[in-house]
Amino acid sequence: MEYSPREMMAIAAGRFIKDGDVLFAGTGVAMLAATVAKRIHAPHAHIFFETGGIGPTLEELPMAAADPRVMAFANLNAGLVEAFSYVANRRLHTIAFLGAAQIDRYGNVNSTVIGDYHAPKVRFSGSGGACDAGSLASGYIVFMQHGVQKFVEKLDYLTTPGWLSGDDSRRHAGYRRGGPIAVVTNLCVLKFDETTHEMYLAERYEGVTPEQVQQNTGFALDVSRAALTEPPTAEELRILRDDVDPQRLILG
Amino acid sequence: MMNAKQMPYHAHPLPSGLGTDVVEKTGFPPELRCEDGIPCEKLIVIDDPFGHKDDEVVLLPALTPDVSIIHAQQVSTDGTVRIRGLTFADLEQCKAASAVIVTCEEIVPESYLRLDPDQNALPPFLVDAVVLAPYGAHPTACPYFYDYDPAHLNHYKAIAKDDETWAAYLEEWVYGVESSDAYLDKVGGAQLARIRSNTVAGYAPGLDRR
Repeated sequence: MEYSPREMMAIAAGRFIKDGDVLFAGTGVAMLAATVAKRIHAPHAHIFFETGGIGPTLEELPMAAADPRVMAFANLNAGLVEAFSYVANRRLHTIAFLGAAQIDRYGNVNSTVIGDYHAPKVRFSGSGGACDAGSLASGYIVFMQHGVQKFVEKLDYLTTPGWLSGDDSRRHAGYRRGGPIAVVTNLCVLKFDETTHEMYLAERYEGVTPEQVQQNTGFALDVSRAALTEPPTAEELRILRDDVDPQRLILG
Repeated sequence: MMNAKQMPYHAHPLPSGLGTDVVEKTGFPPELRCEDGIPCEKLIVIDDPFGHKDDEVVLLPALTPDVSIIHAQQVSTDGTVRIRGLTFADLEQCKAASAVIVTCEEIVPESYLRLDPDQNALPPFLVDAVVLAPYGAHPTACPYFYDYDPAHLNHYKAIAKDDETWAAYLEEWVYGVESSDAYLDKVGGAQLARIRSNTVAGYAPGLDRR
Protein backbone atom coordinates (compact mmCIF):
# COMPACT_ATOMS: atom_id res chain seq x y z
CA MET A 1 0.00 0.00 0.00
CA GLU A 2 1.36 3.41 -1.01
CA TYR A 3 1.74 6.15 1.60
CA SER A 4 3.65 9.41 1.91
CA PRO A 5 6.52 10.13 4.36
CA ARG A 6 4.28 12.58 6.18
CA GLU A 7 1.56 9.97 6.58
CA MET A 8 4.13 7.54 8.03
CA MET A 9 5.40 10.31 10.32
CA ALA A 10 1.92 11.10 11.67
CA ILE A 11 1.20 7.44 12.38
CA ALA A 12 4.65 6.73 13.88
CA ALA A 13 4.09 9.67 16.23
CA GLY A 14 0.58 8.56 17.16
CA ARG A 15 1.88 5.12 18.16
CA PHE A 16 3.88 6.69 21.01
CA ILE A 17 0.66 7.55 22.79
CA LYS A 18 -1.00 5.19 25.20
CA ASP A 19 -4.65 5.30 26.17
CA GLY A 20 -5.11 7.61 29.14
CA ASP A 21 -1.95 9.64 28.47
CA VAL A 22 -2.10 13.40 29.00
CA LEU A 23 -0.75 15.26 25.98
CA PHE A 24 0.26 18.86 25.49
CA ALA A 25 0.16 19.64 21.76
CA GLY A 26 1.87 22.46 19.88
CA THR A 27 0.92 23.39 16.30
CA GLY A 28 1.44 21.89 12.82
CA VAL A 29 2.46 18.24 12.61
CA ALA A 30 2.24 18.07 16.42
CA MET A 31 -1.48 18.80 16.10
CA LEU A 32 -1.85 16.15 13.39
CA ALA A 33 -0.03 13.59 15.57
CA ALA A 34 -2.22 14.40 18.58
CA THR A 35 -5.38 13.99 16.48
CA VAL A 36 -4.08 10.72 15.02
CA ALA A 37 -3.35 9.42 18.52
CA LYS A 38 -6.83 10.38 19.68
CA ARG A 39 -8.62 8.91 16.65
CA ILE A 40 -6.54 5.74 16.10
CA HIS A 41 -4.21 4.68 18.89
CA ALA A 42 -5.47 6.17 22.13
CA PRO A 43 -9.13 7.28 22.08
CA HIS A 44 -9.00 7.92 25.84
CA ALA A 45 -5.90 10.14 25.68
CA HIS A 46 -6.42 13.64 27.06
CA ILE A 47 -5.13 16.38 24.80
CA PHE A 48 -4.71 19.99 25.80
CA PHE A 49 -3.28 23.18 24.33
CA GLU A 50 -1.30 26.09 25.76
CA THR A 51 -4.11 28.52 24.98
CA GLY A 52 -6.34 26.71 27.50
CA GLY A 53 -8.40 24.22 25.46
CA ILE A 54 -8.48 21.20 27.78
CA GLY A 55 -9.64 17.82 26.46
CA PRO A 56 -11.49 18.63 23.21
CA THR A 57 -12.87 15.72 21.17
CA LEU A 58 -11.05 16.88 18.00
CA GLU A 59 -13.87 16.00 15.61
CA GLU A 60 -11.98 18.16 13.11
CA LEU A 61 -8.24 18.80 12.82
CA PRO A 62 -7.28 22.14 14.42
CA MET A 63 -4.76 24.33 12.60
CA ALA A 64 -3.67 26.51 15.51
CA ALA A 65 -3.76 26.52 19.31
CA ALA A 66 -6.58 29.10 19.23
CA ASP A 67 -8.63 27.31 16.54
CA PRO A 68 -12.22 26.93 17.82
CA ARG A 69 -11.72 23.20 17.13
CA VAL A 70 -9.51 23.00 20.25
CA MET A 71 -12.39 24.47 22.29
CA ALA A 72 -15.34 22.51 20.86
CA PHE A 73 -16.86 19.89 23.15
CA ALA A 74 -13.84 20.20 25.49
CA ASN A 75 -13.75 19.10 29.13
CA LEU A 76 -13.26 22.76 29.88
CA ASN A 77 -11.93 25.93 28.36
CA ALA A 78 -9.39 27.70 30.50
CA GLY A 79 -6.31 29.86 29.81
CA LEU A 80 -2.54 29.88 29.52
CA VAL A 81 -1.69 29.79 33.23
CA GLU A 82 -4.07 26.88 33.84
CA ALA A 83 -2.69 24.94 30.85
CA PHE A 84 0.84 25.14 32.26
CA SER A 85 -0.41 24.13 35.69
CA TYR A 86 -1.27 20.80 34.02
CA VAL A 87 2.01 20.57 32.08
CA ALA A 88 3.94 20.93 35.35
CA ASN A 89 1.52 19.04 37.61
CA ARG A 90 3.44 16.51 39.68
CA ARG A 91 0.54 14.03 39.69
CA LEU A 92 0.35 13.89 35.92
CA HIS A 93 2.54 12.14 33.40
CA THR A 94 2.38 14.79 30.66
CA ILE A 95 3.95 14.37 27.25
CA ALA A 96 4.49 17.46 25.09
CA PHE A 97 4.43 17.36 21.28
CA LEU A 98 6.68 20.05 19.79
CA GLY A 99 7.84 21.22 16.38
CA ALA A 100 11.36 22.56 15.79
CA ALA A 101 13.61 24.42 13.35
CA GLN A 102 16.85 22.83 14.63
CA ILE A 103 17.80 20.05 17.01
CA ASP A 104 21.15 18.81 18.34
CA ARG A 105 22.41 15.38 19.44
CA TYR A 106 21.03 15.86 22.97
CA GLY A 107 17.57 16.81 21.80
CA ASN A 108 17.92 20.50 22.65
CA VAL A 109 15.60 22.42 20.37
CA ASN A 110 15.75 25.73 18.52
CA SER A 111 12.46 27.31 17.46
CA THR A 112 13.64 30.94 17.69
CA VAL A 113 16.15 31.99 14.98
CA ILE A 114 18.38 30.79 12.16
CA GLY A 115 21.64 32.74 12.19
CA ASP A 116 22.80 35.24 14.80
CA TYR A 117 20.16 36.06 17.44
CA HIS A 118 20.72 39.82 17.06
CA ALA A 119 20.86 39.74 13.23
CA PRO A 120 18.98 36.60 12.23
CA LYS A 121 18.59 35.16 8.74
CA VAL A 122 15.19 33.84 9.75
CA ARG A 123 13.23 34.80 12.84
CA PHE A 124 10.52 32.38 13.94
CA SER A 125 7.74 33.11 16.39
CA GLY A 126 10.05 31.94 19.18
CA SER A 127 9.52 29.82 22.24
CA GLY A 128 5.84 30.38 22.78
CA GLY A 129 5.24 27.61 25.29
CA ALA A 130 8.03 25.35 23.97
CA CYS A 131 10.70 26.26 26.55
CA ASP A 132 8.29 25.83 29.47
CA ALA A 133 6.75 22.64 28.08
CA GLY A 134 10.21 21.09 27.60
CA SER A 135 11.26 22.27 31.07
CA LEU A 136 8.20 21.12 32.99
CA ALA A 137 6.52 18.17 31.22
CA SER A 138 7.37 14.54 32.01
CA GLY A 139 8.85 14.27 28.53
CA TYR A 140 8.56 15.62 25.00
CA ILE A 141 8.48 14.32 21.45
CA VAL A 142 9.74 16.46 18.56
CA PHE A 143 8.43 16.42 14.99
CA MET A 144 10.55 17.74 12.17
CA GLN A 145 11.74 17.25 8.61
CA HIS A 146 15.10 15.51 8.40
CA GLY A 147 18.06 17.46 6.93
CA VAL A 148 21.63 18.57 7.74
CA GLN A 149 20.44 22.18 8.19
CA LYS A 150 18.08 21.00 10.91
CA PHE A 151 20.03 18.25 12.70
CA VAL A 152 23.06 20.32 13.66
CA GLU A 153 26.22 20.06 15.75
CA LYS A 154 25.47 23.40 17.40
CA LEU A 155 22.12 25.17 17.62
CA ASP A 156 21.88 28.82 16.56
CA TYR A 157 19.73 29.34 19.68
CA LEU A 158 18.73 26.96 22.47
CA THR A 159 15.00 27.47 23.02
CA THR A 160 13.89 24.26 24.74
CA PRO A 161 16.15 22.39 27.19
CA GLY A 162 16.69 18.77 26.19
CA TRP A 163 19.40 16.62 27.72
CA LEU A 164 21.58 19.82 27.55
CA SER A 165 25.17 18.46 27.30
CA GLY A 166 24.21 14.84 27.90
CA ASP A 167 24.74 12.46 30.84
CA ASP A 168 23.23 14.02 34.03
CA SER A 169 23.53 17.65 32.89
CA ARG A 170 19.76 18.18 32.70
CA ARG A 171 19.32 17.16 36.34
CA HIS A 172 22.32 19.26 37.40
CA ALA A 173 20.79 22.30 35.69
CA GLY A 174 17.87 21.98 38.12
CA TYR A 175 15.23 20.06 36.18
CA ARG A 176 13.40 17.53 38.31
CA ARG A 177 11.93 15.55 35.43
CA GLY A 178 11.36 15.51 31.70
CA GLY A 179 13.62 15.61 28.69
CA PRO A 180 13.23 14.52 25.06
CA ILE A 181 11.88 11.01 24.51
CA ALA A 182 11.97 10.76 20.73
CA VAL A 183 12.28 12.67 17.47
CA VAL A 184 9.91 11.67 14.69
CA THR A 185 10.93 12.75 11.18
CA ASN A 186 9.93 12.07 7.58
CA LEU A 187 12.65 9.35 7.49
CA CYS A 188 12.81 7.71 10.90
CA VAL A 189 12.30 7.68 14.66
CA LEU A 190 15.26 8.66 16.84
CA LYS A 191 15.59 8.05 20.58
CA PHE A 192 18.12 8.89 23.28
CA ASP A 193 20.64 6.60 25.00
CA GLU A 194 19.60 5.98 28.60
CA THR A 195 23.06 6.82 30.00
CA THR A 196 24.74 9.32 27.68
CA HIS A 197 21.43 10.76 26.44
CA GLU A 198 22.87 10.96 22.93
CA MET A 199 20.47 10.61 20.02
CA TYR A 200 20.46 7.27 18.14
CA LEU A 201 18.52 5.82 15.25
CA ALA A 202 15.79 3.66 16.78
CA GLU A 203 13.57 2.97 13.75
CA ARG A 204 13.84 3.64 10.05
CA TYR A 205 10.84 3.70 7.76
CA GLU A 206 10.37 1.18 4.97
CA GLY A 207 12.64 2.14 2.04
CA VAL A 208 14.95 4.35 4.12
CA THR A 209 18.56 3.21 4.70
CA PRO A 210 20.67 4.02 7.81
CA GLU A 211 23.14 5.74 5.43
CA GLN A 212 20.38 8.01 4.17
CA VAL A 213 19.52 9.01 7.76
CA GLN A 214 23.19 9.70 8.54
CA GLN A 215 23.61 11.75 5.34
CA ASN A 216 20.71 13.96 6.46
CA THR A 217 22.07 14.39 9.99
CA GLY A 218 24.73 17.03 10.76
CA PHE A 219 26.41 14.96 13.50
CA ALA A 220 27.55 11.34 13.87
CA LEU A 221 24.64 9.09 14.72
CA ASP A 222 24.64 5.59 16.22
CA VAL A 223 22.66 3.61 13.62
CA SER A 224 23.53 0.14 14.98
CA ARG A 225 20.31 -0.26 16.96
CA ALA A 226 17.87 0.58 14.16
CA ALA A 227 14.79 -1.56 13.66
CA LEU A 228 12.42 -1.28 10.72
CA THR A 229 9.22 0.68 11.45
CA GLU A 230 6.03 -1.27 11.06
CA PRO A 231 4.38 0.27 7.95
CA PRO A 232 0.95 1.88 8.42
CA THR A 233 -1.93 -0.56 8.27
CA ALA A 234 -4.76 -0.06 5.77
CA GLU A 235 -7.04 0.86 8.67
CA GLU A 236 -4.61 3.46 10.07
CA LEU A 237 -4.31 5.04 6.63
CA ARG A 238 -8.07 5.00 6.08
CA ILE A 239 -8.73 6.84 9.36
CA LEU A 240 -5.87 9.27 8.74
CA ARG A 241 -7.08 10.11 5.21
CA ASP A 242 -10.86 9.96 5.62
CA ASP A 243 -11.41 11.15 9.19
CA VAL A 244 -8.35 13.01 10.52
CA ASP A 245 -7.24 15.18 7.60
CA PRO A 246 -9.65 14.70 4.66
CA GLN A 247 -8.76 18.15 3.24
CA ARG A 248 -5.03 17.28 3.53
CA LEU A 249 -4.39 20.52 5.40
CA ILE A 250 -1.25 19.21 7.11
CA LEU A 251 -0.72 15.96 5.18
CA GLY A 252 -0.24 18.09 2.03
CA MET B 1 4.81 37.83 33.29
CA MET B 2 1.29 39.15 33.57
CA ASN B 3 0.40 36.64 36.23
CA ALA B 4 2.63 38.64 38.55
CA LYS B 5 1.06 42.04 37.93
CA GLN B 6 -2.47 40.83 38.53
CA MET B 7 -1.36 40.87 42.14
CA PRO B 8 0.81 43.66 43.58
CA TYR B 9 4.05 41.71 43.06
CA HIS B 10 7.08 42.84 41.11
CA ALA B 11 8.15 39.43 39.83
CA HIS B 12 6.98 35.89 39.25
CA PRO B 13 9.16 32.81 39.87
CA LEU B 14 9.39 30.11 37.22
CA PRO B 15 11.23 26.79 37.35
CA SER B 16 11.88 26.70 33.61
CA GLY B 17 14.38 27.89 31.01
CA LEU B 18 17.55 27.21 33.05
CA GLY B 19 20.48 26.46 30.75
CA THR B 20 18.71 27.85 27.64
CA ASP B 21 19.26 30.95 25.53
CA VAL B 22 15.83 32.17 26.62
CA VAL B 23 17.56 32.92 29.94
CA GLU B 24 21.07 33.66 28.57
CA LYS B 25 20.29 36.08 25.75
CA THR B 26 18.43 39.40 25.77
CA GLY B 27 16.89 40.86 22.63
CA PHE B 28 16.24 44.43 23.75
CA PRO B 29 19.33 46.19 25.23
CA PRO B 30 19.11 47.99 28.64
CA GLU B 31 19.05 51.46 26.99
CA LEU B 32 15.72 50.53 25.39
CA ARG B 33 14.35 48.83 28.49
CA CYS B 34 15.15 51.11 31.47
CA GLU B 35 12.38 53.63 30.93
CA ASP B 36 8.64 54.09 31.32
CA GLY B 37 8.53 51.55 34.12
CA ILE B 38 10.09 48.77 32.02
CA PRO B 39 12.64 46.83 34.09
CA CYS B 40 16.26 46.91 32.86
CA GLU B 41 16.58 43.15 33.15
CA LYS B 42 14.67 40.66 31.00
CA LEU B 43 14.82 38.30 33.97
CA ILE B 44 16.99 37.39 36.98
CA VAL B 45 18.14 33.93 38.10
CA ILE B 46 18.28 33.54 41.89
CA ASP B 47 18.87 30.71 44.37
CA ASP B 48 15.58 28.98 45.03
CA PRO B 49 14.78 29.93 48.66
CA PHE B 50 12.65 26.81 49.09
CA GLY B 51 14.68 24.42 46.92
CA HIS B 52 17.49 21.97 47.51
CA LYS B 53 21.12 23.11 47.66
CA ASP B 54 22.22 24.77 44.39
CA ASP B 55 18.65 24.91 43.04
CA GLU B 56 17.91 28.04 41.05
CA VAL B 57 14.75 29.74 39.92
CA VAL B 58 14.03 32.27 37.18
CA LEU B 59 12.34 35.51 38.28
CA LEU B 60 10.33 37.26 35.57
CA PRO B 61 9.50 40.94 36.06
CA ALA B 62 5.83 41.88 35.99
CA LEU B 63 4.46 43.22 32.70
CA THR B 64 2.52 46.47 32.95
CA PRO B 65 0.92 47.22 29.58
CA ASP B 66 -0.50 50.74 29.14
CA VAL B 67 -3.51 49.41 27.26
CA SER B 68 -5.04 45.98 26.69
CA ILE B 69 -7.47 45.45 23.82
CA ILE B 70 -9.47 42.23 23.69
CA HIS B 71 -12.44 41.00 21.68
CA ALA B 72 -15.36 39.28 23.45
CA GLN B 73 -18.69 37.81 22.41
CA GLN B 74 -20.84 39.80 24.84
CA VAL B 75 -20.49 42.88 27.02
CA SER B 76 -23.38 44.15 29.11
CA THR B 77 -24.52 47.75 29.25
CA ASP B 78 -22.65 48.19 32.56
CA GLY B 79 -19.38 46.75 31.11
CA THR B 80 -19.39 43.18 32.42
CA VAL B 81 -17.58 40.91 29.94
CA ARG B 82 -18.59 37.39 28.87
CA ILE B 83 -16.17 35.30 26.83
CA ARG B 84 -17.00 31.95 25.28
CA GLY B 85 -14.24 29.48 24.44
CA LEU B 86 -10.78 29.53 25.97
CA THR B 87 -9.30 32.78 27.29
CA PHE B 88 -5.54 32.25 26.63
CA ALA B 89 -3.93 35.34 28.30
CA ASP B 90 -6.81 37.78 27.75
CA LEU B 91 -7.93 38.03 31.37
CA GLU B 92 -4.41 38.33 32.81
CA GLN B 93 -3.48 41.05 30.33
CA CYS B 94 -6.61 43.02 31.22
CA LYS B 95 -5.88 42.72 34.94
CA ALA B 96 -2.26 43.88 34.39
CA ALA B 97 -3.06 46.87 32.13
CA SER B 98 -3.54 50.53 32.99
CA ALA B 99 -6.51 50.74 30.61
CA VAL B 100 -8.79 48.14 29.04
CA ILE B 101 -10.72 48.36 25.77
CA VAL B 102 -13.15 45.56 24.94
CA THR B 103 -14.53 45.19 21.42
CA CYS B 104 -17.52 42.87 21.16
CA GLU B 105 -20.02 41.09 18.94
CA GLU B 106 -23.03 42.08 21.05
CA ILE B 107 -24.00 44.52 23.78
CA VAL B 108 -26.60 42.87 25.99
CA PRO B 109 -28.67 43.99 29.00
CA GLU B 110 -26.89 43.98 32.36
CA SER B 111 -29.76 41.92 33.80
CA TYR B 112 -29.06 39.15 31.24
CA LEU B 113 -25.39 38.64 32.26
CA ARG B 114 -26.42 38.80 35.94
CA LEU B 115 -28.64 35.73 35.43
CA ASP B 116 -25.57 33.49 35.09
CA PRO B 117 -22.59 35.17 36.77
CA ASP B 118 -20.54 31.92 36.67
CA GLN B 119 -20.09 32.48 32.94
CA ASN B 120 -18.72 36.02 33.20
CA ALA B 121 -15.02 36.84 32.77
CA LEU B 122 -14.37 40.46 33.79
CA PRO B 123 -16.20 42.91 36.08
CA PRO B 124 -17.28 46.32 34.76
CA PHE B 125 -14.88 48.30 36.98
CA LEU B 126 -11.86 46.99 35.00
CA VAL B 127 -13.29 47.97 31.61
CA ASP B 128 -12.62 51.52 30.41
CA ALA B 129 -14.20 51.41 26.96
CA VAL B 130 -16.55 49.12 25.04
CA VAL B 131 -16.75 49.08 21.25
CA LEU B 132 -19.55 47.30 19.41
CA ALA B 133 -17.71 45.62 16.51
CA PRO B 134 -19.66 42.81 14.81
CA TYR B 135 -17.24 40.44 13.01
CA GLY B 136 -14.51 42.39 14.81
CA ALA B 137 -12.21 39.36 15.01
CA HIS B 138 -12.31 38.67 11.25
CA PRO B 139 -10.27 37.08 9.61
CA THR B 140 -9.69 35.14 12.84
CA ALA B 141 -12.45 33.30 14.69
CA CYS B 142 -14.93 34.30 17.36
CA PRO B 143 -16.25 31.00 18.78
CA TYR B 144 -20.03 30.47 18.50
CA PHE B 145 -20.30 33.49 16.17
CA TYR B 146 -17.98 32.68 13.26
CA ASP B 147 -15.02 30.52 12.29
CA TYR B 148 -11.77 31.90 10.91
CA ASP B 149 -11.83 32.85 7.23
CA PRO B 150 -9.52 30.29 5.58
CA ALA B 151 -9.50 32.02 2.19
CA HIS B 152 -8.40 35.28 3.80
CA LEU B 153 -5.82 33.66 6.08
CA ASN B 154 -4.33 31.59 3.23
CA HIS B 155 -4.03 34.79 1.20
CA TYR B 156 -2.43 36.52 4.20
CA LYS B 157 0.04 33.63 4.61
CA ALA B 158 1.13 34.08 0.99
CA ILE B 159 1.45 37.88 1.03
CA ALA B 160 3.18 38.05 4.44
CA LYS B 161 6.36 36.54 2.95
CA ASP B 162 7.21 39.72 1.07
CA ASP B 163 7.31 43.39 2.16
CA GLU B 164 5.79 44.67 -1.09
CA THR B 165 2.82 42.31 -1.15
CA TRP B 166 2.39 43.00 2.57
CA ALA B 167 2.22 46.76 1.91
CA ALA B 168 -0.29 46.16 -0.89
CA TYR B 169 -2.40 44.04 1.47
CA LEU B 170 -2.43 46.80 4.11
CA GLU B 171 -3.48 49.33 1.47
CA GLU B 172 -6.24 47.07 0.17
CA TRP B 173 -7.64 45.77 3.48
CA VAL B 174 -6.71 48.32 6.17
CA TYR B 175 -5.89 51.85 4.97
CA GLY B 176 -7.96 51.71 1.81
CA VAL B 177 -11.18 50.64 3.54
CA GLU B 178 -13.12 53.56 4.92
CA SER B 179 -15.29 51.80 7.51
CA SER B 180 -15.95 48.44 9.11
CA ASP B 181 -19.12 48.19 6.98
CA ALA B 182 -17.01 48.67 3.85
CA TYR B 183 -14.60 46.01 5.13
CA LEU B 184 -17.42 43.49 5.62
CA ASP B 185 -18.90 44.32 2.22
CA LYS B 186 -15.49 43.63 0.72
CA VAL B 187 -15.29 40.24 2.48
CA GLY B 188 -18.77 39.52 1.08
CA GLY B 189 -22.03 38.27 2.51
CA ALA B 190 -21.67 34.77 1.07
CA GLN B 191 -18.25 34.31 2.65
CA LEU B 192 -19.52 35.56 6.03
CA ALA B 193 -22.37 33.03 5.75
CA ARG B 194 -19.90 30.22 4.95
CA ILE B 195 -17.84 30.89 8.09
CA ARG B 196 -20.87 31.35 10.37
CA SER B 197 -20.50 29.06 13.39
CA ASN B 198 -22.71 26.14 14.09
CA THR B 199 -24.35 27.19 17.35
CA VAL B 200 -23.63 23.81 19.00
CA ALA B 201 -20.07 23.16 17.79
CA GLY B 202 -18.96 26.80 17.96
CA TYR B 203 -17.19 26.61 14.58
CA ALA B 204 -18.25 25.85 10.97
CA PRO B 205 -18.08 22.06 10.55
CA GLY B 206 -16.95 20.95 7.10
CA LEU B 207 -15.74 24.43 6.14
CA ASP B 208 -13.36 24.23 3.18
CA ARG B 209 -10.10 25.28 4.79
CA ARG B 210 -7.77 24.55 1.81
